[in-house]
Amino acid sequence: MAILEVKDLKKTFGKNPVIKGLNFSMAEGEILGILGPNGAGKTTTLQMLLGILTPTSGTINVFDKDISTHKSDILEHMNFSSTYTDLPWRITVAENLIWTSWLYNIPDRKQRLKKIKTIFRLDKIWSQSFGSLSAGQRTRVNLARSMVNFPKILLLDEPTASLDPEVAAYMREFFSDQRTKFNTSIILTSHNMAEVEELCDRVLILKEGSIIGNDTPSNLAKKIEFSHLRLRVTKNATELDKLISLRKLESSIDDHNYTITIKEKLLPLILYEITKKNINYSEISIDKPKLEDYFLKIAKGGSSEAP
Amino acid sequence: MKAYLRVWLKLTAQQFQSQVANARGAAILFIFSKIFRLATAFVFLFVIMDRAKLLVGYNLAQAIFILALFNLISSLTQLFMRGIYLFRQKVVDGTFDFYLLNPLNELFYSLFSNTDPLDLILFLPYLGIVVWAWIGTGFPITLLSILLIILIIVIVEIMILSWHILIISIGVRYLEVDNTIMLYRDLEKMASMPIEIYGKFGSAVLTYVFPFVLMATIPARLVFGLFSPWYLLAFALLALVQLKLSLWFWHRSLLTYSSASS
Repeated sequence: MAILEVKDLKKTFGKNPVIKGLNFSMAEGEILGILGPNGAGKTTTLQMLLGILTPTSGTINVFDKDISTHKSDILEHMNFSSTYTDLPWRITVAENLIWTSWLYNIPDRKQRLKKIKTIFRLDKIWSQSFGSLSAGQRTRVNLARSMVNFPKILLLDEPTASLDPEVAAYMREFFSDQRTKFNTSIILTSHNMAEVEELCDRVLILKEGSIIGNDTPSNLAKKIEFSHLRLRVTKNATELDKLISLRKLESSIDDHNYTITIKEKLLPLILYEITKKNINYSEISIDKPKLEDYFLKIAKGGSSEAP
Repeated sequence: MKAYLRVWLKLTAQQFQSQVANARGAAILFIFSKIFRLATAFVFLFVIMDRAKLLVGYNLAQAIFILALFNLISSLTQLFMRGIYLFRQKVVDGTFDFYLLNPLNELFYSLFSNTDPLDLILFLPYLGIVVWAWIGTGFPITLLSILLIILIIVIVEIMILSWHILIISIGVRYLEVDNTIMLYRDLEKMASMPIEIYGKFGSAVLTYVFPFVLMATIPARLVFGLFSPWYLLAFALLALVQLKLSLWFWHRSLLTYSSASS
């Protein structure tokens, strides 16, 4: 069942169209990634989903309600966290979270905050002012704030950008758990492609205000037809050079380490020829295309389908 | 509604604590300057009335009553809607984004989040001055007249709310609030005197365009038996039309808002 449905969403600033008609939906319990190069419209889209920006046209339905007419009801069950937003600096972590619980009208306030304190490991910084915290600690408090109302939809903008790897991994596990245990739907934007691949069921790729890709991370990666074959050659390197030249392959050589970019379907043939020409190697690896390759291709201006 | 009230009370308490803890000197200065401004207004009135005896048909006691009523209603507005003075800063530093994304209505936060408890402290003396001035006019204080004045205050506050919404709409669109609010305050201040002093045209503008006439002259006329309460229905209608229009402006201005982070 779709918990969020976006239809023909457009946003124009002055005469500049920033979002050019988005259509997508999100199921309950789904983790949806939104990726795109800078200026693609990710933040504008998130801000419209949160009601910060008013769409120029189009509709956003959340829980079957139109956000333009039921904003308060909807926002009670949504929340947001970004590495780049601040909370009031002067007041303590505890005061910040208590204040949030007031805003969201949380009934079992004390119990809820106790849970949040434990989940986000806030014991040591509970009474410290927000301004005195490190960047990583602030991100953690921001994430904690976004969970105070146990939202049904959580929007995360670069959620782990300033966290150390251990805490980042813990947070990823936490978000995954939220989905499993409470069917929480999450929309995530991140420049950490490994994180997106690990967490997201589906990814929307935005470019210049339009969706140019909408699929699972692995399916998107498959759209890149090229793999990288890496070899550490020990004998008959000249034969390999000839083969590369004959087949007009893209390659780079560092010492005896060859990296050959090759269409996936040609891979068995090239490996066969390497064996046939008696080219010896001590190490071999094949890097299959990843979401990051797809993203880089898009960012560099390539189309979504062609390599 | 309960949630709004609870949040408002919390915000006001916090503001009060902050003032007691950090700005005691400023608070004393604030109260002193408010009293001084009111006193100079009264002195100004006394000087005029000493020479004129009657001000466009009103005697000194009646003119004092009009000024006292204006002062009460004006301070009531400032008590609740002081947030408007900080609105521009909130748009610039991203606080307004935060207002937009939490479940409480952004207008509530934009207008009512900076209630000044010092205005609350002054409200009771101001009310006392109104009662004293009313007794001074010699007109009886009846339950009906009190209820009618409360009704007028509600109507006028709806109108003032509309004007404040319009001002922050301009703030969202053009990042300009300080000058517009001062312009508004100057116009509003014209209502501190009986509006007849501005002549026919000025009175009409202050009645139908910027209906600040409701802030003092109309309630005073009611007390003096010079105004039929039935006309209040027309003013109530006008207040609702103004509110509707200002909300339309507000939604239009949100359409152009591009967020502090954009």
